[in-house]
Amino acid sequence: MNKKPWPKSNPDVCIRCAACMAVCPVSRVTPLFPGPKQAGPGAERFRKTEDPSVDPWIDLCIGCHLCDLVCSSGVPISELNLIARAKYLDEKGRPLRDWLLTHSYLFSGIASFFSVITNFLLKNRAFKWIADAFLSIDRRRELPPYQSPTFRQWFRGHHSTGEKKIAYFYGCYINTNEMDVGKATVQVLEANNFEVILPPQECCGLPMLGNGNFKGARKMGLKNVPFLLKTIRSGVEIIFSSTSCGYMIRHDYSRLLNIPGSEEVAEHLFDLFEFLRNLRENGNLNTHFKEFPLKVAYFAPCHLRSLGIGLPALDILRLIPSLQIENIEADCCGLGGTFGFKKEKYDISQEIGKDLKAAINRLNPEIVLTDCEGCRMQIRHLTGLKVLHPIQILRDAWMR
Amino acid sequence: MNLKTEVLIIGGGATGAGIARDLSLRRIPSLLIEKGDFLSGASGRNHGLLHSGGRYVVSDPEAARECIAENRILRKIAPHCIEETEGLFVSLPEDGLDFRDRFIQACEETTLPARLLSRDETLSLEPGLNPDLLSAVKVPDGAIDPFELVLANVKDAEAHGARCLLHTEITSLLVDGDRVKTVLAKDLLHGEEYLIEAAYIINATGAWADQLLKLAGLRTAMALSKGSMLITNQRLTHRVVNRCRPPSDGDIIVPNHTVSILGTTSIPLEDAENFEVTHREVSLLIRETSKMLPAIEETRFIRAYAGIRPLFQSGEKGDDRAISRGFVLIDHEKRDGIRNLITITGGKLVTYRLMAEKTSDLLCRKMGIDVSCTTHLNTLPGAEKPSGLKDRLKPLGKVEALCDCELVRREEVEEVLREGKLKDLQDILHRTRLAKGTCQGGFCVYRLLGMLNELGLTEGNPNKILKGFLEERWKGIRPVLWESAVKEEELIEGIYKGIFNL
Ligand SMILES: Cc1cc2nc3c(=O)[nH]c(=O)nc-3n(C[C@H](O)[C@H](O)[C@H](O)COP(=O)(O)OP(=O)(O)OC[C@H]3O[C@@H](n4cnc5c(N)ncnc54)[C@H](O)[C@@H]3O)c2cc1C
Ligand code: SF4
Ligand code: SF4
Repeated sequence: MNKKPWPKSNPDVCIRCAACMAVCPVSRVTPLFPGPKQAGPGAERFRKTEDPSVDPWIDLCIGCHLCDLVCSSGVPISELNLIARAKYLDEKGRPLRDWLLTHSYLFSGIASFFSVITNFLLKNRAFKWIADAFLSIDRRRELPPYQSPTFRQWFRGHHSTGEKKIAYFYGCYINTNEMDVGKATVQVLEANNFEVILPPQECCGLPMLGNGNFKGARKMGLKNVPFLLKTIRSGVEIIFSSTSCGYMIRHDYSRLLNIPGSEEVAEHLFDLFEFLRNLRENGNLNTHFKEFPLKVAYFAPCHLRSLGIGLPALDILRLIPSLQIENIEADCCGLGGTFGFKKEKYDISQEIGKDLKAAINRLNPEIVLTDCEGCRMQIRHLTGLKVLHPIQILRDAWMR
Repeated sequence: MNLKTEVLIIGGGATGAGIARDLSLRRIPSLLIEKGDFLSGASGRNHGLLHSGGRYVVSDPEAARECIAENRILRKIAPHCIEETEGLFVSLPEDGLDFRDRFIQACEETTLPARLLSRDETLSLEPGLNPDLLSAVKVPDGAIDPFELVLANVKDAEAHGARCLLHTEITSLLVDGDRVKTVLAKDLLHGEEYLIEAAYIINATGAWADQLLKLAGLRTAMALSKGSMLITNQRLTHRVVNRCRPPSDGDIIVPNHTVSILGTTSIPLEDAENFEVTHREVSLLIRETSKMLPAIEETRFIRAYAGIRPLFQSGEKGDDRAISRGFVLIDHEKRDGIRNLITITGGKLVTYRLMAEKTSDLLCRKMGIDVSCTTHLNTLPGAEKPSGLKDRLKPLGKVEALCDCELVRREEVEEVLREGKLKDLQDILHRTRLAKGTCQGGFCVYRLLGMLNELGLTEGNPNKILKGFLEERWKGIRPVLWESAVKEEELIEGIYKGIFNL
């Protein structure tokens, strides 16, 4: 028979095996979401472009990509969900809250400048009540405090030197809310003889994409890619310290958003620890660590797993003498970017996090490490423990 | 056991069910006997096209006129069984435009609403169509769900006093002088025999019409033709798509709920019971339909099936399609001197109501009563709540789905079971969308059996029932098995062999 092979992205290739159902964190905790098999390839057979969406439950997919990872047939389940969700939200209209949550890059500069006032407000109960009542941002969440100076401001006063150059995509959150992660990244790279440069950059657009706003996300991508292309074409590779931003640029820019040049960028864009691991494999990593007697637990974010590069942070941290480090055996923290901030989803988000919390309690670490800012916020919220980016510990192991 | 009825209707397809309804609305008592379930014949194995008449408008304007008239009536009385999709007759470069021009003219003459669309207009309606197409003519085709249609007719008939007996075969017709005096029937599931006395007998057995008449020592000259169809995993177009050329193989694509159905072929056949879809037919259907819709070349199919058309010789041999599609109504009193026997066969699903009306009119004349038909005036049960795909997608997340391909809810099946009278697995499958989706029942049927067992509804050996179902399923899947469908089959086979020990 003269038949062409089926395209890989078509839900036709789903063999209904339900392997994806076993990993979905959302359908595990709530019957309201039918799970990846149904929500993705299953429902696709019922959706007609010309008909309005009728599946509000699609908004419950947290976008963790765990289903894609296990599917034996290569069904891009979370992508199907995201597209359906975008259509649903386009039709239904997005609340002001979603706009605020996904456009924080617009006002974070000012927020950092007035960080004393902003942080007072963010912790203020009345403010939280207002955010909850009028914006449906759950009052039980801590809103992340802003820092001043920002990472970029700090870097401006910093003189980076090294033999080779490396570019750093730091992302919004590191810039205004966790600048020490950026600082640690720069310090570690410098310790390995790299001069760090910061190419011009905007928010990667993931918060918008995660909220089904393809247009907004594409706009951000179209701004970033030319900057990044210019950097790599001048012979400088790029690293990122936030696995979510990294996944977005490396994967979603080309696959979902069709941004010209993004495939070329993806080839020269590395996760920070993936880059350090490469250095080590070539014998170029500075491994003069000091003894660091500390008990830590490491959690691999969903976006890191989806990058398919293993767990490079663990590989590197295990080189630090007397650092006691354990991998946390749990899937998905449940925050899902902005998902867990939304009032209607807070409980689901917490329920998903329960497993992670229990796993951390079993290990009883002094500090928890994870590469994603969302996971860090959620783990702090769940356990009250100190949570850092692994690069901060690595830096400390050199500098102590 | 003895049964008595005024009118015995033999055959539970669209025609038989339509007659039962028509007579019941005229207050004439009837008993319908069907050897399988309703829709076991051509009514459950056709293309599901609500013909506008376009297909016949050039070759047989009379048939086209019947179609458009019935098409309009069905939209009124059975909106819940119909998807008002419209249909396109697409001209490809190799077809030229001569036929199209004749087609448009014939539509005008038959008052069939038709509008010529440019290439761009056509592609904006159905972007998946072959971009090289020349033009398309839009006509009021649609999609019709034969299962819903026939069962709604039965429901209405029963509500008005008709009776039905399923899984019971008519085994002999005993003629005494100018009448069929007694009829013998046998319950195929339990072996019970019936002796039926009926004042009048209507033979609505479709492709089996000749076989039935043989029981009374009569004949009718008819040929059988097999038509095969393929079902895709997903719905490919919103509208019905026809090829604008003289009717031929593989020139219609009909959307149906979640899927599209490609068809058909036309192959002369001797035996109305044993037939399969051949590989040659599968290739031919894919080759021809993908000329209109290129995506078909890389789409997944979930089943192949075939139905039998009864055809009546009108001279032209060699080409089955030239034989008239109009129906045949035989008053055996006139033809053979048997006063109480009528045969109705041929026709189309779309014209089932008209066939029932004409048959019932003839019967009334023979009975000497004067009541007129009202089936075109009264809506069918269920018409008040038309439901679509959306309604099945919506409650997901709130309810338990028994079948996760077609999203059939457990409650839905329980409701069907409560209505009762179901005797085998196939009966349940006919009344729900179970086993009609991607896995073709591979995953939901054992869940269904579990549920039946829980409710204490299983009778006989469940392993045997499951085996019978799997054999039938395999017949439909085998012709279209390649790529990841093979993987799925391996998995399903593993489940049945490894876990159920079949
Ligand atoms: C391939 C194909 C495609 C088609 N596509 C379309 C289409 O798209 N649109 C359309 O309008 N029409 C279509 N048709 C035509 C349509 O399906 C038929 O005209 C219609 O279903 C005939 O209904 P019926 O009730 O006359 O016959 P059937 O549905 O065949 O019913 C006859 C019944 O009689 C029963 N029976 C037989 N012998 C006995 C016995 N001895 N005792 C008891 N019961 C008995 C059988 O089990 C059967 O259920 C198509 C037909 C085919 C074959
Ligand atoms: S992306 Fe995550 S939440 Fe969404 S369906 Fe897949 S596994 Fe479930
Ligand atoms: S894992 Fe992949 S093939 Fe299996 S049910 Fe999920 S989507 Fe389908």
